[in-house]
Amino acid sequence: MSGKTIVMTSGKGGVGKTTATANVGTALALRSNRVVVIDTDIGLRNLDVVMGLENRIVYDLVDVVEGRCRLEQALIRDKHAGDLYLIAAAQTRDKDCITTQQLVGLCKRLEDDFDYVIVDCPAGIEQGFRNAIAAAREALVVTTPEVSAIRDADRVIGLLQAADIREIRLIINRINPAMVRQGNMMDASDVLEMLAVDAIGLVPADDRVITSTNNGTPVVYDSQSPSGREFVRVAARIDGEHLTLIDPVDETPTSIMDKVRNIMGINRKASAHV
Amino acid sequence: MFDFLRKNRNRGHGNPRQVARERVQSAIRRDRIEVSSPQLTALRDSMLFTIREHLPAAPEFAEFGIQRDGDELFLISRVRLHQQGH
Repeated sequence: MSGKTIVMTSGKGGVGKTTATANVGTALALRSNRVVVIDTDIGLRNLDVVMGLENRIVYDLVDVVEGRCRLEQALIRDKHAGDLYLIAAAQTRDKDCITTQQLVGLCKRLEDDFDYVIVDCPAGIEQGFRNAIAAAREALVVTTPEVSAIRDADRVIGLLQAADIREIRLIINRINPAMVRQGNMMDASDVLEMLAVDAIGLVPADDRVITSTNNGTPVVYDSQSPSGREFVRVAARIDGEHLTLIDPVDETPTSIMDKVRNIMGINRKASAHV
Repeated sequence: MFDFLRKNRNRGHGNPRQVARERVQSAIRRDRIEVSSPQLTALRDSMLFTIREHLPAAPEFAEFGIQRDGDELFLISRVRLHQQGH
């Protein structure tokens, strides 16, 4: 098996990168892929809690690269999806305690056993970022339709291009259709025009993400969640399916009858979904 | 109906979406043009070399750098030329 390493990055923190990593990783595994997600945010790990695996960590990323355990011992199997594994970040170590070469070596080893190696990159553009992108052939840049997040995403895209990562795609997270319609928020086309990269996902703002994170169950398991459905589609696109992008502004019901249909689970646009 | 009224209200005070678009575009434009000091030095040397192939220029720029004017950035360079016969 020769898998593919994909880095999830954003520049700015708090845009939903870790949530996106957990959900895309889970959705890829639910499509019968062997997937490993790696948390490289050393000192501030969170991917484990988003996936509900925080109580299963014995060994972490630093233990593996420093040879204190075998790779297999640091792979934490997911509770729900069969072939999904997590390598957690160390919580107590310095963020610069692993080198680029160590992480590249680890990803190469994992590519032999997994279809997808998904690296959750720390916020910022320092050594942790440089480590995380070094092994990747593809990058998914997560942003929100906000001034600071877009600006940082643009900076990160420039750095990814400078690092010779050619396949860069955008996940625009937390699009609020009501705010877009009212002219209070930029829409997906505004963001795409400014960043000049292709989108792979347009994810609506969704309270169910908070509930799912509280429960430690990725939102892709919630078929009623609009963001969960979009993360499922993102995974399908990564996996090579050609699915049309669905703008949440067009998808969200506006009339009372649309809202009733939505509550009853009768979605007129269901045929466009995965 | 309410959306329509809100949109019209926003139009009067500067549409927040439009304001955000312009602010990001301006910030991105500035970020993209940001050049490091070594890059600027290399550019200066290269420009001077090219100019001196065509004109009798002094060996140093009288002025060279990036200047901001409002939202716009300009590369400013002034080269002293030797007058013929001097």
